[in-house]
Amino acid sequence: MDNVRRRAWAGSLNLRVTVHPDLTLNSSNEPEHIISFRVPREIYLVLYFPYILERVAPELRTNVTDFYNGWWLEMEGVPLSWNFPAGVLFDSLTGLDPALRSSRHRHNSLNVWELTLRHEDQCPTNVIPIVRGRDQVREFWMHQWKQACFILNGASKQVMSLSKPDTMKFWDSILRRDQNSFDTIKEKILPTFDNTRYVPLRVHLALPQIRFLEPQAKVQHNNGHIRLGDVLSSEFPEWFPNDSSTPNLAKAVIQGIEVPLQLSVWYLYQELSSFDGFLHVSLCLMTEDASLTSRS
Amino acid sequence: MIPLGEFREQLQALIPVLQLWPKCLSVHASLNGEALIGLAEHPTLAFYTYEFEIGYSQTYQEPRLIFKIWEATTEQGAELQRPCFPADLSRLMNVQDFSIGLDHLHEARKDSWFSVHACDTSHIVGSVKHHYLKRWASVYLSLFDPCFSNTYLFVDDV
Repeated sequence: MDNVRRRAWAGSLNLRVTVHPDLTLNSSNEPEHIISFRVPREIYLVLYFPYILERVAPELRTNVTDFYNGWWLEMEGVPLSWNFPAGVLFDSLTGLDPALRSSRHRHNSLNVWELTLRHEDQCPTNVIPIVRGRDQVREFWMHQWKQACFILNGASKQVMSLSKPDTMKFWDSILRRDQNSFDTIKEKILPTFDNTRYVPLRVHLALPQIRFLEPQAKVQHNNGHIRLGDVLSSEFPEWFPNDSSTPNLAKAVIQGIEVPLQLSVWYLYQELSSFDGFLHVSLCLMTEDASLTSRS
Repeated sequence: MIPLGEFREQLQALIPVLQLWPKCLSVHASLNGEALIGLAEHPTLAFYTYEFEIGYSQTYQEPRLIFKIWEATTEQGAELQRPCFPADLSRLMNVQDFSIGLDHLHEARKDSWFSVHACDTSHIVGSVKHHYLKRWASVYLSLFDPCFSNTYLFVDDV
């Protein structure tokens, strides 16, 4: 169990960020301004804006006066909402089937996520403006935990009654990648199996439009564990038909892993929930190749 | 807490209350009837308008208040309304002890809104279901106008 959590916590993404040509000093025939680096899956991408901007600042047309406000990343022209874990954005927006990722990138031994850095006075409407720097990001994350705590326990008091040092230690554990500290404080919030009201669950879809749902997922029913497949077939019967003779049209991906639908939501929450207190499931539509892979 | 069915019923009864609020410019139910959408002028600053939505939080099973602030500006003779996201809301609003975050992406409009966190609503509003939403509004809408609760002097039987 511990091993799975440790691997999920250590999961990372390779990013290649290109500065949009409108922002740079040089003309269009100069080489593109690109930086490549690796980020944890379990982080908000926006926390890397100061790192990116410090590296590209000399090449920009204007002085960087704020590391957050007005900046955003986009993928193929689609602005990324920073308010989800980086790994969730990758899984849901790329829609890549984990089983096919290596073959799709066979010319390159690394999977690299190509993003573009943009800036305007006002961010696109689907990007929450950051007007109070990193404090706003931390408060946003705490708000996620209050919601997750309420869903789990029926009250937010386990989060709201954390001491100030514990709250800061909780946040710092994410920035410093200290899983032991993170888990120690998380334990104070999580109920036991029998006392769990619902599992904080978010299901992300990129098609036909980018959105997410929050199904109410109990942990047990008639003394049996509720399985992820039960929740998905209830919410998306067209993609996950109850009839076992009809193949599923999508796969469930959590932390970059295609997860078996027969696993219980409680087990998945324990193993693969994110640093914001939610279990994020990205639905990946199956291609013909993927169907063959999953059948073999 | 207020169950969704009860919330929907009480939501309709809130419309005439809001119409009596002097700062309210408009209020109507959303197409699906699950939220009220309103516009209100700032009590003292003419350039600012609040757009608010009273909906239902499935997470907390409480009313959910989200809002935007619109600022009127003039450019080349034309008046424009722009969303305004001040870093310090207390300079513009009666924030009291509310926990407010710029953290909500509107499900339908896909744009950014402030949200008033609902985690301690039951402590503020109490557990009596009768007139729950009116009591809630008397507290939470004072965020926009400290005199909002005066509206209630005239609407006991609405």
